[in-house]
Amino acid sequence: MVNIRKAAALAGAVTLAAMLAVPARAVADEQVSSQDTTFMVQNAQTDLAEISLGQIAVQRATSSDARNLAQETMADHQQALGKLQTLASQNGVALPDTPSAEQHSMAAAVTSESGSAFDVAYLRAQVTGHTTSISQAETELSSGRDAAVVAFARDYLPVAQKHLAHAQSALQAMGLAPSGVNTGSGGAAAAQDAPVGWYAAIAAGGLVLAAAAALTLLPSRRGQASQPR
Amino acid sequence: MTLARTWLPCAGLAVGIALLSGGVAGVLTVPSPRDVGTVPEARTHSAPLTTVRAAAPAQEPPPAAAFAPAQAPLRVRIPTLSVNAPVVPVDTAPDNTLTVPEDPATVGWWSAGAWPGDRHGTVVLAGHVDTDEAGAGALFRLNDLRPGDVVALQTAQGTLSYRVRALRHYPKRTLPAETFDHSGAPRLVLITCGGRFDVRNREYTDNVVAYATSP
Repeated sequence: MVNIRKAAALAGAVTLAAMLAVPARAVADEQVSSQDTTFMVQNAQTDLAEISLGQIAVQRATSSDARNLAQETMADHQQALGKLQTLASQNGVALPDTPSAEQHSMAAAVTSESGSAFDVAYLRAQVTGHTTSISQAETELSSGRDAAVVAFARDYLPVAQKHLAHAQSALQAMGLAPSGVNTGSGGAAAAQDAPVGWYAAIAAGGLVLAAAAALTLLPSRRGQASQPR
Repeated sequence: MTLARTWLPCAGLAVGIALLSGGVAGVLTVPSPRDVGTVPEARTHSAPLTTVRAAAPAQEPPPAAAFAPAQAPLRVRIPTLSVNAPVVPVDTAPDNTLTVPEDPATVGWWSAGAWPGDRHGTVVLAGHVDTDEAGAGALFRLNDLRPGDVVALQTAQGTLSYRVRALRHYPKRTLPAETFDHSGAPRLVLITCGGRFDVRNREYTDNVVAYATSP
């Protein structure tokens, strides 16, 4: 009899726990939407990519602009990753511990360069990466549900915009644009400008004719002037 | 006899002056090379490049897509000019001019600039108009491009399609630095030479630049 009572009490406790557990999970689902989770995962991958590439860039960049940007991005993304990890653990979201496959391939492309080409590749990757990251943060601001995750995106956005602006400025400052392009030595395409050549030839012919006529006229007038009246 | 000796040079002088005036007027009034269309501004950000894949129907990129994978161009096709040329990466020479492939049938791609598929910057292709030895180059007829013409870049991942927006002729000294923009709106430029030919230096006076963007 006692055993039956114990069994009934245990069953009741399990049922009560189950009843309590279901609403608790439902509340969590309402707070962190799939958009919030997607953004946290994307942002963690970006932070990891920026930190690992930044560590390489600090060592290998040849320009102070690229090195300074690497230090700046590493510090800011480490801070962002720390905040994100706290948010993720509060909301039961599992964050990745490596960058995305595309970020891996971009980092491989950057690190395959050396010298000033490395700086260019790194800065261009910064422009591309931060443009994407800004777009992701803006999506979270407009579509995110969890107030803390949206607040994180709001704080993160100006930092990413600052990194993008610094990368763009550094690229422009490097003055890497070619100064000119020479792609022809044959002259065949200049035939399209034939009318100009014809007009120039006519003008030259006119000049010669006018000059010859003037020279012919001058002695005859002199002769007329020297004749006694 | 005296009359003829006086009037003949006068007539010659008059005809000479008329020819000189007409010739000079002709040189001054001949239309400059045809600049057509509106140059897409690099500094005005536009929508990301839409790509047309060779093996799949065109699709809108997913929202908030991850990095657009950099795609090195392998060939350039311009159907209206019957151009179908291989593309190789090129860099700048010690004098900072952009090098072009030795083979005039091959087009150079400035690999330090934007890559096809990048969300920012100008993809720069440059090719010979002609050479002394080989005659016409891959971009001999670039001057004939018109807004709306299609330019397709083949990469290892597929084909990216662009439409010509404008054609411009610049004296070489004034080729805009913005042509090689790194961070503005995505676009493609094709560069060759044109204008008058300086026989002594064996080079053209101008650059011909075709600007294209995603369709």
